[in-house]
This record gives sequence, structure tokens and C-alpha cells, in this order.
Amino acid sequence: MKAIDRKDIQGMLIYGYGRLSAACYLFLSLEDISAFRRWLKATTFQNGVSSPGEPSMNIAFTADGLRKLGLTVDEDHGFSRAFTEGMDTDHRNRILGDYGINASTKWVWGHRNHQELHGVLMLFARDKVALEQFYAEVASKFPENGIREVVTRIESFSLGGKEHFGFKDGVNQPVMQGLGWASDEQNFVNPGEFILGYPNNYDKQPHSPFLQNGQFNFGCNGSYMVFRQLEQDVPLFWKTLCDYFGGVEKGKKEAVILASKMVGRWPNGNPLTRSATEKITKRDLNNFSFYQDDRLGMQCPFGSHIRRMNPRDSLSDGGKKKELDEASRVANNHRILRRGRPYGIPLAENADIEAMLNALDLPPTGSRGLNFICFNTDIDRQFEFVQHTWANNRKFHNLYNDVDPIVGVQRSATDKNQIGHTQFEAQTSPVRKRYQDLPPFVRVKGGSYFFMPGLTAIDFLSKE
Amino acid sequence: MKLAPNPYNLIVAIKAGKMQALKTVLANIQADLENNSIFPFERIKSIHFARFVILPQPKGGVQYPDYLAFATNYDGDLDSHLLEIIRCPEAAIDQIFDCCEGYIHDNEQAQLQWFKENARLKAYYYRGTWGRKATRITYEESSRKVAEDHIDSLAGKDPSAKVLRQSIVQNAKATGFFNTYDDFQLPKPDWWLLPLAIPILLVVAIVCVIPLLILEMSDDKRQHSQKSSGSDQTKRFTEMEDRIVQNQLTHLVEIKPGWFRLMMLKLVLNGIAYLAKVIFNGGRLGGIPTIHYARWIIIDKGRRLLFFSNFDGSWERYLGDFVDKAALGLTAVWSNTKGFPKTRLLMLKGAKDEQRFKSWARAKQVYTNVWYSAYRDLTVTNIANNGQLQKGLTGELNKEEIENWLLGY
Repeated sequence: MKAIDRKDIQGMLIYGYGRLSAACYLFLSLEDISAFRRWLKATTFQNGVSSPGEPSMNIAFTADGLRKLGLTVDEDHGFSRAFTEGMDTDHRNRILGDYGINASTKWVWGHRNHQELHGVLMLFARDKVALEQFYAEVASKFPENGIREVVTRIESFSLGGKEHFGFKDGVNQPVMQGLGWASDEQNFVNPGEFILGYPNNYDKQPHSPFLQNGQFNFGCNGSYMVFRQLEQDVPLFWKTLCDYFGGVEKGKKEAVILASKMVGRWPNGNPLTRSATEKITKRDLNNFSFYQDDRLGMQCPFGSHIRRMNPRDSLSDGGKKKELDEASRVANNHRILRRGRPYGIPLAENADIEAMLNALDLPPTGSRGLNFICFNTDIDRQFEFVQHTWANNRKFHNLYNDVDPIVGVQRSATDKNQIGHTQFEAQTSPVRKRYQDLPPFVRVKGGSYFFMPGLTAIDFLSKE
Repeated sequence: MKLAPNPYNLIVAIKAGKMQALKTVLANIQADLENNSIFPFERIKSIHFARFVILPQPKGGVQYPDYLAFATNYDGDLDSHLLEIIRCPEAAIDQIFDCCEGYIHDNEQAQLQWFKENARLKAYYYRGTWGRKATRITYEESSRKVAEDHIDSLAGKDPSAKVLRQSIVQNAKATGFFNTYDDFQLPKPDWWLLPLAIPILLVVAIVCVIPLLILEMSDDKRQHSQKSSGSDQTKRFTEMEDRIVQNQLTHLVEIKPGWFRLMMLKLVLNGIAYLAKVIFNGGRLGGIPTIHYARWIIIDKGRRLLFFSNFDGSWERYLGDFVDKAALGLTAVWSNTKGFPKTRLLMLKGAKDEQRFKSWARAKQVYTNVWYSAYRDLTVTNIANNGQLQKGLTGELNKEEIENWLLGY
């Protein structure tokens, strides 16, 4: 297999930039193309050779942005249909759950009429001070280079590996073959799942945009980037769960257990499948299976978040090795490479659950959530599939009426244009427990599909 | 008991000058499937799924007559099914079929005759659910919902499995959901045919290898270009998709010319239809658990292949399952049709070229003018599970059986 060309790949596709705990996301409009091209030429975008320790940036473009730069962005030129049409279409609203309170008409950025959104520039630095300095330096050059920020940038500071509800996040991440990194076997995918120009899981070259009469593989070393700004209602989440058990004081402990059932991991990331308590007994939090370890879902419910986001062998037809392997293999055709980060101030310091439970009734302290970002080479088969067939699917795992209790949405039974309350079933003996009337805890504030080009392709864009 | 539900497919020429009128009528039906005044599906109890499709002409090349296809999956015998449609007092089906050749609307016997005469093409058929009437499927779902609510009402009381079952059964009796049905006897393979079939298939395989290899060499140049699924057309399809739990696919493609390809196709389809009856009769077609009913029909005297399918979940998932689990079988079918990704020995490669295959599938997809499902909120596995739950209301079960049964809720 061709070696992964880390020098030509923007670094976010290889690393999560763990040493740079502060980030901000700038939404750009390109007002003067020749000036922008000069800027593009003169700017250094972090490559994937090593994980950076100094301020770094990466860039990605919307279909409108590439059009503005003179490209014909359509299927005939090899661009993905999802990318050319954009995230905000009637059909995608339906499958992604972007209606009612999530409707794109209420988005802050990325909606279909937001055609001046041409790209996103992502800045990373060690801390808040370094980030502000870096931003000031970069943004000061915008006016002379024909760049305008179209909405307020989103700043993001690490919560020590947690998301805002207080759970450890980003525990499971697929690993590309060819990087030479260690992982358990079920976790490897071919690099063409995330980077164009390499074989995908079907041992085929993923469709890639070719320009200049098909002579130039513009997509090579690039990837489609999905970006959704997801606001989390942390007080509502914990209040709702505590109320099942008689309120915060009385129901705290039970609420944390139920929340863990919904997530599929304990707050510290320990998988329920492996452990009935939060105590971590094995350091590797990923080396487990669902079917073999918990076929009936008694530990980790079928409908839980992590069982949907990566079902592993869970959807196997049976317990034979051949069946289990096939189930894992098929599930692995729908992996995404996540690079999201939380934004906003946590409800309590470090998103500590105990402290947050004591802060539920304090006055609101601004909005918070997750900047969900993922990479894939086939948006339909990867991101949209995960969101539609696994998260928002009431019939997942032979269930009847459960969507993902954290990120899933379903239609209201009474008003088809609204998002309804959901139910969550936890498998227990002798019969399941059903928690009804769960309101949506997550709200979509913006979103768009981007293309993140390789550095050769950026060089191409910088020329007339 | 007869096999059920069965496929009915009418394929009939549209009268000259009636195309626009027909399109309008069908659009009106689709706009209010259940209660429209032309074909109010809700009133026709013998239907599981149904569709109307105006078959399009291929782009360039040979032109075919303009056809209307009307297909149902129906309960009971065909005459009763058709008479239920013809006699339905709230319907005005003449508005549809008056647009078609040879239809006489003022005589019930002539109508019945016409519906049968124009439906003689063989359907190579797959059933995901066997021997359950549409009415029974909805009854069993209501019964489950009643039981689920009852279970919720017992929360906190923590009854034992045995006590819990007694309580569910009592509640079913009290609410009128205690009816259970006989289990349907599934057909079994004719094993005695095996010693006969193996040598015949071997001979066929050996004889066919060389011509196949030669034909496949020339095919390769004509495979579907990976980029031309046609965005605008695809958008028209996706506008109709993912509105309920199920989706449908209508697919129409020209068969490669020559008697050899047609013969291969018929051989494969007969094989699949047989296996669908005796092996894949437990709700899974080659490992795919989401297909309610599907059929292939060879039309235009062997020149085009029409495919109807009703399935759970998204198009992407359905086609992905094809590639991941059943590539061999479907390559064997569609490798005999034009533009299919290049194949080796009839059933190798082909659909394994995943993105090209999906792009080809979209390019050959056909707009379905009207599509109806009688139980739009149920998957194949839901229906099967509901059957087990209903069955478990009666009879003597031991402790282990009761525990297993309760897992279904």
C-alpha cells in the first residue's frame, strides 16, 4: 500500500493536537480572490508529520468557497453529492434530525442561505493567552487579504478530556492502517476511509475530485470534514435524570447510573460492558466487544450511545467466529475520525458531575456544547449513516421506539414538524425498564460540510 | 394454508395522450395515500405494500411502449384481492385505469379479466414475512403496545418472571388481545433433488465459463461511469425517502443483448426465487434482515429487468447491506444487465466495487409515483418479534422459556 504522505496532509487528519488545549474556529468569507490566493500562498498550514507544540492552523472550504475560487463543484468532477448539495437540504434535515428546534432556519451559521460562508480556519495554541495572541496576529491580516469573518468565532478550551455532561469523551478512535500505531484489531481501518487517494475498506480508491480534464487529483490527501455546533443543555440533562429518582438530593446516585447506561460508559470512560462499577480494572478502555461480552444488553443497553456510535460485533447474527467477524467488519465500514472539542464554560469547574449537580439551580452562565467535527471520505456511508441508521433510528438493534438518548432525535407524535420526547430502554431481568419522556438535551446551532484539501491542492488553489 | 402474501404485478401500456392525466391522478393519490377518493389504500385490507410506477424510457437507444406498473403484496386469493379493489365503494379506480389500453370500466367481470390478463409476467419473489395477514400484523402490534404499557404500570413492584407473565396474559384477556394464530408451515428444501441438481449445475457451470469470460471482456468497456448517477434525478428520489420506517426501491435496467445473457439471468433468478422459498425464509435474504418483500420481473420480451423492493431503513443501508452481505447473489443477477460494474464469472467483483455500484443503482433507479405501506412503523424483525410475543401468551412455558419470552418486550 502507498505510504501515507504526512507531509502533504493537513495535520488534523493525523493528530488531535493534544498538546494544544485551546482552539478557535473562524468562519470566513472570501471577498477578494486574488488577495486571498496570495494569503493562501504565504500561509503555513500544519501538516501531519508530527503533533505540533506551537500555534498551528488548518483550513477547510465549503462547496461555495471552492466555487468562489473558480472550481466546478459537482458530481461529474468527482465531488461527493452530499458535499456539493450541502448539509442543509430537505432530505438531510430529515435524516440528520435538523427540524423543529434544530431547524436550519434557526442556525447561527451554515444554513442553506448562508452562501457567504466559504471556509473555516481552525487555530490551535497551548492556552488561552497564546491563542488570543495567535488569533490577533492572524486576523490582523484579514482585511488586506480579502478575508472577512462572517459570524463570531467559536472559542474552545479543553475540559481535560471531558464533554459538558461530565463524561470522558473521545475515548474510542479508529486507527488508520499504515501509520504504524498500536491498537486492537477491530479498530483498524484503511486510510482511504478518511483520506482521499488511498484504498478504502473495500480496497478501492474512494471517489475523489479530479480537475484539469481529469489530470489532477485535487482530492488526494484531502478529506470531507463534517462540522456541527451542538449546544448541550447540561442543567436539563441532570435535572431530568434526577427527577426519575425523586430529585437531585435523593436521586443523585441513581441519576449517574442511568446517565452511564445512556452513554454506555461510566463518567471516567470505563465501559459498562466490562465493568459494573466505575472502578477501572483494565487500562485499555476500548478492547471489548458487545455481543461476546454482553449479548443481551444487560450491562450496556442496546440503545446506549456508544453501542450505536460503534456497534462493533453487536449486530452479529450469532455467536460463531465467522458471524462475529462479519458484524465487526461491516460496522467498521461506518467509522468516522472525530476531531471535535467542547466550547463554552462548564457548569462547574472541570465539568465535575458532583459539583454540577449542586449548581443546577444557579442562574444560567452562557451556552456550552460540542463543536462536533469529523472526517470521512464518503459522507453518505460514514457520517450520515451513523447519524441516521444508528443514532436517529428508532429500530436500531431490533428496538421499537428508541433513538440515541444523548444525540438522537425523533419526530413528535403529535406535531410532525417538531422534535418529540424520546424513550430509553435498559435491558434488565426479568423485563426491560423503560424511561419515557426524555426531552432533547442537545440542540444544533450550526453546521456545514467542508472539504479539507491536502497541501498540494492548497497550493493549486493559491494559483490563478 | 397457501403461501402469503403473494405478489401481483400489472404491467400495461398507457393510452396515447393520457400520460399527463395519469401522472396527475397518481400525484393526487400519493398526496393522501390513506384517504384519497381514487384509491384509498386504508380501505383495501388485503394489501401489505403497493406501488404505481410509470416506467420511463431509457436515455437514447431502443424505445419501449409507455407502461404503467401496478404492484401489490396481497393476502388471500387473487380474485378476492382484485374484487376488493374493484368493488371498493370509496374508490374511483377508473380514473387511473381508463388511461390504460384495453380497460373497460363498466363491467366487473371484464375488469377482473383485464386485471388478470395484464398481470401474467412471472415475479421472482422474496418474502421477509410469511403467512401473516396485514390485519394480523397490525393486531399483534397493538397487542404488544398494550402489554408494554401494562409492564410499565408494574414498575417498582418487581414481580418474578412467572408472575409477570401471568399478569400480562390476564391483561391481554381483559383488553381483548388474547387471540393467537396458528404457526405457518414454511416450505422445506427438496433434498431429494440434490443428487440430480449438483451434476446438472456443474455441467452448466463448465459449459458457461468460456462464453462468460469472452462476453465479460467486451463488457468491461461499457461499465457505468462512476460519476454519472445524475444528481438532479437522485435528488428527486431522496425527496421521497426516509419519511417512514420503511423505504422502497424501483429499479429498471436493460438486459445485455443475446439469448445467452437472458438464459443466465433466468437461471439465476429461478435459483434465487427457489432459495428464497426454502432457505432464506426466516426473514433474511442472504444475511439481510430488512427486506419485507422484493421481486424481479423480466419485461419487454426479455429486454428489460424490473425490480421492486420494500425494505427497512435508508437506501444507503440497504445498498450497503447488498455490498457487504449479498454481493455474490446480486452480482449474479445484475451482471447480466447493461452498465453494471465489471464482473468476473458472473458473480465475482461487480457489486464489490462499492461506490460505482451505488452510483449505478441510483442511475437506474426509477421514480415511484405512488407507494403505500399498510404498517409503516414496523420493521421485519419487529413483526417477527410481535409474533413471538403473541404466541407466548398461551401455552405452558417453563421458567427459562418465560425468561426468554420476556426479553422480547
